Amino acid sequence: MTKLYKIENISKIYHRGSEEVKALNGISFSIETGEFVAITGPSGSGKTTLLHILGCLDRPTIGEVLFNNRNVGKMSDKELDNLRREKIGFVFQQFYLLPGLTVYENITLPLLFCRKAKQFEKDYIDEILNYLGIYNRKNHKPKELSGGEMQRVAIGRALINKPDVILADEPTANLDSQNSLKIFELLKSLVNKGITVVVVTHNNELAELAFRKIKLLDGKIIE
Amino acid sequence: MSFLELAIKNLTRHKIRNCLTLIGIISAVTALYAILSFNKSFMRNLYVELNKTGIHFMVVPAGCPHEVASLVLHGSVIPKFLPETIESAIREKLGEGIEVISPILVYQLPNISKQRIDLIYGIEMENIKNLKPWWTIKGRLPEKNDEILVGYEIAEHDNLKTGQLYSLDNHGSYKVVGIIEKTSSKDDAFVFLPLKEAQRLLNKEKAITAIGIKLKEVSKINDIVDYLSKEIPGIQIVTINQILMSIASLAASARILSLSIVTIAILISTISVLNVFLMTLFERTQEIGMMRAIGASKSHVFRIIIEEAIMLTTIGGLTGILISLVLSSTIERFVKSFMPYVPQGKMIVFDPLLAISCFIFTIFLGILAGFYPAYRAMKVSPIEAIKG
Repeated sequence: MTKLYKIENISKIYHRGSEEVKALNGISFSIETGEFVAITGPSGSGKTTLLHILGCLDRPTIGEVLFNNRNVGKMSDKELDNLRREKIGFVFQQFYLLPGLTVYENITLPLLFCRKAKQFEKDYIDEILNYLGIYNRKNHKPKELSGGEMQRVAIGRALINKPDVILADEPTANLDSQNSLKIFELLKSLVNKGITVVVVTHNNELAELAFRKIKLLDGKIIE
Repeated sequence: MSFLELAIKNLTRHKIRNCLTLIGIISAVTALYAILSFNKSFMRNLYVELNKTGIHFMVVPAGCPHEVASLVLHGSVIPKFLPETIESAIREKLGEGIEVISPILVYQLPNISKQRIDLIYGIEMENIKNLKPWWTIKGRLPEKNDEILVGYEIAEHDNLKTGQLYSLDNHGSYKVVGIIEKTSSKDDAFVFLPLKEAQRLLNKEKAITAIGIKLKEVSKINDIVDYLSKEIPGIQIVTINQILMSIASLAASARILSLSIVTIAILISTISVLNVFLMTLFERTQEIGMMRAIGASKSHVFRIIIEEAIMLTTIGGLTGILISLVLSSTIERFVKSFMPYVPQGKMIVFDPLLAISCFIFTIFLGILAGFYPAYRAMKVSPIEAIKG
């Protein structure tokens, strides 16, 4: 397996007035291609900050993040936009589906920002819809869907650009236990498609389903 | 899905709010197109109307040129008179140079039995075709002293038909031989009599209000005007061009006022679009953060917001232009109600250049109103937005 991420001694420091807050404090680890990693820890441990750094939405204050051996810290904003667009898929706790769009339109939304949009054929979109079990809901609006279905749509949206990695931030926090398990298994199954999955969760039971757990406390890896 | 489709779908999310904003834009653009078209038509129609009178200048008692303009175009009453001998003096001075010379007498005559004032217009009937060539007359022109021609309003009000008698109170009754079709000018309110009969009726024998003159060679008009002014004392000569300028200046303040109102309406609707989009931005911050996370660049976010604003103003602009054309008659009536004088002819018409200019202007308004919200959206930090 090849290294997808190499995190080297990164820290993230925020300033709240005169107070200095270390969200991440000198952490290092790697993620191999095709891994299913769960990042766990209590609230305020730095899980989401780490996920944002992995997703190139944020930069560490200190340290380096290598994605496919490219130093993310040296990339311009435009290069980071391109990287997110083409290599990274995001799944959020609150789904963030556009209410005016159908399931199909929400899933294909990232293609709007992608220059290579034409190469994606309808068959691939149908394949995603079938894979996620929402094909018969493709013309529905988000308000007509259950929480589990909305999260599946969000996963579909993350998959549409055939990313190298899917980063999910508490994807089951708004779902019941049955749907949470289904979504977790769905994310896990993506590994079989060669996609690396990194999930932030505070649910230890679900985290056990991951191949590897990274446990954070006060911005440090403790396990 | 394209950016355009996304803009349309986003606009339909807040139907009531965007409809209200749209109504504001539509109203402003309707007013803008209508007023600009009205103003453009005003000068053109005025020029056409003055040329239709077939006269090159008017000879009136010395006084205000605005009165003359008013007299020429809609028969207003000038409380001064010229001696009829002026006509023969002019004939003598100009001789063969005159093509048409038409003295007129305009006067207000109280009609106690009908509790109104009759507006009397005395004219030599053979000259009517030269002075009012755009009239359509139901019936014929008066040929005898006891025959009259009446305006549309009078005929409508008194339910008059040709052949009926029209009473001028204790001054006697006259046979209506012709009714003028609606002109939408003050001609509609006049009773037209042969000049001699009008002079007798009004006890103004040998008096006239004005003389309209058409020359055989219009190129000599300036020399002739100077010559007559010097040769005949107590008269004022006003050329058609002077009348044109005089009327234009009379109407200028009303036109400026209407344009000012439109400018304020446009300003309010632009601020309203700006306000709506700032509200939208506040509500959609997380959505923008999500879009940034899934690969939208800052310029994509800017484009999404600005396209929505342009789309809204463009729909408003096109609808506004269309409505101003559909409701042109109603708008015309409304604008005319506060104009001192409006020439004949359609004032709000389809003008491709004006329509395109208004359309481009609405796109510009969209850019203006959408720019700041789009700029703010572009600056939204995706992390802060996602955190909410």
